[in-house]
Amino acid sequence: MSKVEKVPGSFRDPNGFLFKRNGGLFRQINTAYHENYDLLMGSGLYKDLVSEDLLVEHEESEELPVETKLAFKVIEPEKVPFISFPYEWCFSQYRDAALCTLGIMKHALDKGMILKDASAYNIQFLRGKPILIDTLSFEKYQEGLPWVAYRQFCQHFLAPLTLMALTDIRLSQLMRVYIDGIPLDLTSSLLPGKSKFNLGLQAHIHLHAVAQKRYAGKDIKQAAQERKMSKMALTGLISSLETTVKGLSWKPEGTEWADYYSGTNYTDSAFVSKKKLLDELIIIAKPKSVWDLGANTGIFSRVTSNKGIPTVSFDIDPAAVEINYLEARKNNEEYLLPLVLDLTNPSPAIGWANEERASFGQRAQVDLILALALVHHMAISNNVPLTSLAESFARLAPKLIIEFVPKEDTQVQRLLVSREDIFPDYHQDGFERAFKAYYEIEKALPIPETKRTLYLMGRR
Amino acid sequence: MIENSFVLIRVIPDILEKGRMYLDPGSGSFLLQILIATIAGAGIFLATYWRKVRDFFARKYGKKQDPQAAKKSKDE
Repeated sequence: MSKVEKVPGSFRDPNGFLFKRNGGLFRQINTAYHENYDLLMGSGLYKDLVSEDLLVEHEESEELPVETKLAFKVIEPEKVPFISFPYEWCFSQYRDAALCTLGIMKHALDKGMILKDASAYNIQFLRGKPILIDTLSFEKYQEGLPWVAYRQFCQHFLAPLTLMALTDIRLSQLMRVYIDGIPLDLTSSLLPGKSKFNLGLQAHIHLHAVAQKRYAGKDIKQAAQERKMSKMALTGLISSLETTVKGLSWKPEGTEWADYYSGTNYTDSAFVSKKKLLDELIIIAKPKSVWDLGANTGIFSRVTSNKGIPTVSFDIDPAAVEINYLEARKNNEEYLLPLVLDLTNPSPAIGWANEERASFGQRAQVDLILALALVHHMAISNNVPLTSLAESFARLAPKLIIEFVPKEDTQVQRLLVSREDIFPDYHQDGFERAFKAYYEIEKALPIPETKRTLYLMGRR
Repeated sequence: MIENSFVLIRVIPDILEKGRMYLDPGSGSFLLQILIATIAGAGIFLATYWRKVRDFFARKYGKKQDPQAAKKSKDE
């Protein structure tokens, strides 16, 4: 009997769920969604959205359903190589995801349907662009009804975006805490006073928070009977949300990070040499996929992504990731996905039973880890023992390309200026000893004009 | 219009009671968006209406009064 596993994140919707069987990913559609599925496919909405890269493509499958009594159909959606979460997106990724959701809603309305949810977790980045992955998010539009997902859109998209743009870019991390989006009263209290002079923010965040408080737990059936919302009003609402989102911007300039990018730690020729050596090692390692940890603006991630190798480019700094994403978007780079991640405290598993959204480590199905100019930050700034670092990397992927940066390097000297050197084993021999417990060293190439070494290792 | 209102009066309580929506729209969010949407929708209606009025006059008097504006209006 083949092993079947329901995907934990998709239990909320009574219309269907995702499951894995024999390495394939499928979606069971329940009979409750029969009519809406037929409308999605028959109205031309599916075709339009897929042709504009707004909705994930799927094929109807012969695969047996998991819950046969409820089942109407099984479909097989195109697989997204890496599932990312909103708290890992930079500002422009988040903004593009919000505009993608509203764009889909407008298309749906044109075809007599609406989005019945507006969860940020339903958006993923595929071939560099945001795309809706939940085929069951559509339902028939009923004239007169307000948008059921309005509150969710405001909490999942507008609140984090506004906080990132107007209060602090790091507040996207609140999405890690609140699984159903950032509460609007909290958002309202964290926003600067000037946000109240923005009509869209005043309405969708501040007034919205007041209305939620006022009507919390109240029976509104009577009030709802007396009001109606025409299709033109709904179009106006979506258009107002779109204008509000488009009005939000954030630039990495003028932040504490700005200087960080003004210079590299290498001479120009050392930089070119490092890139060349990396290229050589990649040709030897032939990875199927790569995670570049501490990727900065993704210069070295592009050594692999430009070869058509799917590469996720992680960095702790939202400004670096923003620069990386804007560059990737400008050049239509399909194989590069920049994401925000603090490696010293990576994304945990969150949600119901701690299973709804997988942790960073649980999502590791990657062939090669790239760790360039990272070891000293982990070992010296963060006191991670080298053996622990080796063990963690070995758990993530079978192959590793890692750069050792010795104490004599100016960057390490800089880290040691403000603290005592309590790292007697932090030297090349100590590094190799620690990593040999988990890896075979296949190549060790000194980087010209520096005291650094680039290693290719294979897991034991 | 009357028909629409009738549909709404019938549909809203029905949906709220039977809980066909799997998301909780939130009472405050539900009511507030009607207010915002009505204003935003009226904005769209007025903008469309205004464009029609402007285009009408631009077509009728455009060439004599302001050829530049007429051209712009046509381009739009």
